[in-house]
Amino acid sequence: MKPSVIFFPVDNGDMTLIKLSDKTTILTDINLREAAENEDNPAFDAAAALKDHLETDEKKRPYVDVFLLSHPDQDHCRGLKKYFHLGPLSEYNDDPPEEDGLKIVIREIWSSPIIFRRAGKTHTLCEDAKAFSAEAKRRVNIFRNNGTTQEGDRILIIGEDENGKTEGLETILVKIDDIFSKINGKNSNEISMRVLGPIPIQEDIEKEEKLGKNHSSVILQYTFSIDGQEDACLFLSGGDAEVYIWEQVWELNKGNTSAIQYDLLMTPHHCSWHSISYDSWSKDENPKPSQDALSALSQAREGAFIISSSKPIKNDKNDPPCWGAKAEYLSILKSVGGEFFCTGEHPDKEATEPLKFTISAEGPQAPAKKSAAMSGAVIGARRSREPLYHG
Amino acid sequence: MARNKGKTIKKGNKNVNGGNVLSQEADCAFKTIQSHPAIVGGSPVLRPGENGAFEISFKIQVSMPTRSKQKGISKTGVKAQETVTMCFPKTYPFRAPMILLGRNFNSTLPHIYPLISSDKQGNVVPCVYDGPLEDLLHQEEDGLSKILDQLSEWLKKAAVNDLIDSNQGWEPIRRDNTFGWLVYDISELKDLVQDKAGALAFRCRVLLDRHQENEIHFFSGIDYQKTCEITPFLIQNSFFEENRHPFLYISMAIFVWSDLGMTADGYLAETIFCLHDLYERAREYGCYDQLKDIFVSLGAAIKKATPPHNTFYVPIILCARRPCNLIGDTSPLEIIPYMAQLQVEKNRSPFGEAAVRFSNDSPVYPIGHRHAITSKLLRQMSGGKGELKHGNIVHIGCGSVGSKIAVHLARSGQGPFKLIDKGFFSPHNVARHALMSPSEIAGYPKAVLLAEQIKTFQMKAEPFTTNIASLCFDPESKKKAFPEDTQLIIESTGSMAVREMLAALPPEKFPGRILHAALYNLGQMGIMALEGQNRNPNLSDLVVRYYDLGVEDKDIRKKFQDSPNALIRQSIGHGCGSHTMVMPDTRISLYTAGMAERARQVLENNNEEKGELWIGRLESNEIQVNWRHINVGQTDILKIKASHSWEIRILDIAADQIEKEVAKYENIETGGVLMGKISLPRRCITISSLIEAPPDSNRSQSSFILGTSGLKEKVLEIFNSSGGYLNYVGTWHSHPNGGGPSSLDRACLERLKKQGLGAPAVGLIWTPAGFKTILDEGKLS
Repeated sequence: MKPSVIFFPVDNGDMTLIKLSDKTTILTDINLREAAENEDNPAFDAAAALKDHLETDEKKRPYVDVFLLSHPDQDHCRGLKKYFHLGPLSEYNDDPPEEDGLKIVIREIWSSPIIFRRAGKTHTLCEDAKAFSAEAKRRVNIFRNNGTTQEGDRILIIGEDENGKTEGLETILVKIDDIFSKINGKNSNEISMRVLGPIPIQEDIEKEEKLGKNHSSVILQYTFSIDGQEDACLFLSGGDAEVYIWEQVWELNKGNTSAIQYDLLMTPHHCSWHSISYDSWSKDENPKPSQDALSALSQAREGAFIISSSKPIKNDKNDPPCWGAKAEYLSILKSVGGEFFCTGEHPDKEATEPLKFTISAEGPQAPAKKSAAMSGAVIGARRSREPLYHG
Repeated sequence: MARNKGKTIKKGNKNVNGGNVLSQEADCAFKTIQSHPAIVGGSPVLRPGENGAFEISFKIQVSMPTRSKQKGISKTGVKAQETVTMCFPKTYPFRAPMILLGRNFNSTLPHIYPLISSDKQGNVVPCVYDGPLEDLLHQEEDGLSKILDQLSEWLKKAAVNDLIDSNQGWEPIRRDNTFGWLVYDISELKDLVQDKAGALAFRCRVLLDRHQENEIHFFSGIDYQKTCEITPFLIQNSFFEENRHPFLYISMAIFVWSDLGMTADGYLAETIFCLHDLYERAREYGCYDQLKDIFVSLGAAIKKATPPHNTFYVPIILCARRPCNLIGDTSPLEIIPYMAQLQVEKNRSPFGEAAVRFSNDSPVYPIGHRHAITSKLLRQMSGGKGELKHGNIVHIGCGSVGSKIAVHLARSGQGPFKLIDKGFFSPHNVARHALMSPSEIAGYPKAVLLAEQIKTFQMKAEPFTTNIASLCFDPESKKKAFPEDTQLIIESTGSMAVREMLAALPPEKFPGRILHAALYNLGQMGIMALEGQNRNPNLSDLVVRYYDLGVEDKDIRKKFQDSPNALIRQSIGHGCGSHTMVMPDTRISLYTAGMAERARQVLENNNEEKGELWIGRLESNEIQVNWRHINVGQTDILKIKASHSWEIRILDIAADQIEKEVAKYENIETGGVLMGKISLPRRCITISSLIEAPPDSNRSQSSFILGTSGLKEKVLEIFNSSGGYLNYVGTWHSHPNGGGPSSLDRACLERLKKQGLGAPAVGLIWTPAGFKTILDEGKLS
């Protein structure tokens, strides 16, 4: 099995699963709504689709090796309490009510140091984000007390806290520009991660205001090594990071653009205009993108794919997803013969399916084109199908 | 299917071909293909063939990895647009189309079918679906699109060499749609492979079947235990045809392998059509010399033997050493079978040549492999999990019920078997039996025939045709028939004597757990009784419990009451009759399937300690059996030495009732009447239930005096509702402060005897330290 990167259609939200050939999984963000909330495609059950791609451990519990929360916004952690086990593994419920199903075990958490920040005017948290924060702190405390952690309690902090909250956590900390390949206690020879964000928080309050939750997103460049090909695929993913941050990323990396190159790019903030511009797409007459931010997002390699994890993108004033941002990405892709995908449109607006890229030595590969189901939108992607029988 | 290279029709050309109107199927297939999102590069091309067959060619877009997109071709040689031809047979949509990729398509990829149609030689047939394409065609509303989806996915994977997961191991060459099969046990064959290259010949049989459309099908089994030297004598005694359909040849199979270290690390598509191709393939695998040499020996032997014909069907098995273990296997050896139709070269001058030669054009057909029958295979097909500990299954009784259970178990890979039955297979047995008896074998003992049948499953089965009682009472024979590793004894004799004898044998003298199977009342009811661990509860306990159930269950009661007429003497010959139950084979199978399934579960997972009683009842529709299951706990066993030795057995529910009654009265003596079954021949009294002390009884701290008011009626009620099986067997009372029977107790037993309720009778006394008994042996005293 070749490794893959799967983008789940979760409206204007993110949910991305990296699955390595040894079945190691890295899940970035979730947006698991109740079926009733999913107006666009009620037939698509994102939680079930996610579980279909996960392995179960020897106790039959579904698990992810890593859950990375890019930043604690609701559209990135919705459903955490309902679908994931939080707390020590010894409290796992192996016999939940049938309608709830088994919860997903998180073997290791990856988080920015934002969990150490107090909630305040500029830092409000939804219930799932609070639960995430509590779980992350529980794991940090185990580390502080024991100097080590076990599977189910592991945590990795991505980025230093400027106020010293990450002091003493050096063993479980990676800093900006670090490249690491340890996943849930094991070194991978198939994937490595370069830390591009969060950008360290400035002392200047005004800037910190700018660096709200969205701004503090974890930004990683994943490098896949396949069949001896060291940089078989570069995947750049940056949560909801906005224009100021991308300008900073460019400033920090313009001397070494290989650090921000990609074959796969997930557009920041669901293809938002604000990731590339200070202007307003809906209010300003002639909104202009920031050239530095665009440069940071333009390091596409031959044939690259750009993916917007969002609703379908329409030619209107909406943002996100934003038609103008898509146009900018299309122009980046044009120069390298690449292709644009939107999770809300794959393979069909009426019947979305997880968008899976296979990672080969020759680069990522988009899904094969398939026929649409004949049934209408109500049934969605579910084909009518007769079970096979025995005679 | 012949290929029509002539006329083609493009879309818009009115579906007419030289006056032949194209079928609706062709038109629909064309439109479906055209509308598929992966189809690119202009309109597909439709070519009508003979008799309504047709072909559609089109270009399909392949999803490429990023760095191959601009080049238009992937590292594995898959192009961004591939040309595909789908050949639809005249029987479409009830047979699936064949998918052909171009002649230049990389044929060294895995998941490619062997090409079995010589006119398509050079084309590559991808295996796009793990199952018959026909199923895919009909499983969904738009099955043809689904096939195209699979093709699109297959090509996508082919582009990045992702068709197999190399972590799982080497995938053997696909051989699903070939010209037949060769049957052998792959592990036995692999064990013969040595480090040095070599070849072996085995005796084998070849069945050749030619279907109407000149399709050839081979079926062949080799006897890998019998390697043979290729001699003229062997040739003279081989290769003759038997005049029957399909043709049967006695032949030899040739097996060749390469030197250790000669690794065949490339996938080679199955494109072998003639002997020349086979030689080339053997060269790739590093066993060309071995194949050539053995053909020289064969040619020499044929030359000397001068057989009357020039064609020889010989299965050839090549063995390739792969770079890693095969999927799901612990060995890197891949065994690849073919059927060669060797033709002696005619035009060569025979002078001076010591051996005949075989034409390089001799047809060679790829054939598939079938595992030889082994209990492992049978178990795998039956869904058995893990390693099975093979202990013996002893069948006492090989009649209709027993034979069906035995064959069901054997088919699921259980065994080996010891089969005990003194009866002979008589023509009337054919009506209800697992054996398919041709008339000539009627007259053999049933046990022998059933053993023969089971041995064809490559499983051990030993028949015993002596009377079961003689077997059990002769230590030597008993040891043979009931070996120490006996897992389960299945008794289905329909004989109460056998049942009682088995029940009477103490566990220390007769180990093994007994499953008793019996049908009642023309198959209206069936019971299956499974003894607990260490034979407690035993067979007779379970039967008593079964009759006790009838007391509360009216339906069971009714079925006993109808029962006496069920066994009728059936005429099975002039002046000969058999006491048997008349019912169809199907009805017996309704019960035996469930019984065999429970036996299989017990054999697979034998940790239940309790005894089990299963009562099956035929529903009024007569196609359904409803099983009721109760667990039966351990029986309390009391041994008594009176003027003879006796055994008192207290069933779990009776013991429970006593405990409850004692608890109710704490320090006061209480008691009641015992119901159950007396067996004088076995000198055994089994207690099944209690009757509460009649209202005129007297309970006090120092005595319990049993009343008699209404007692007779109660006893009679139980007697009747158990079909006359359960009766008064004695009384019980408690001594909460301990102590054995008092003179009063003995007097009481005497008094009850005069009531004429029954005799012998037991006087059971409950004490905190356990039961104590007094016994009236009745006429035996």
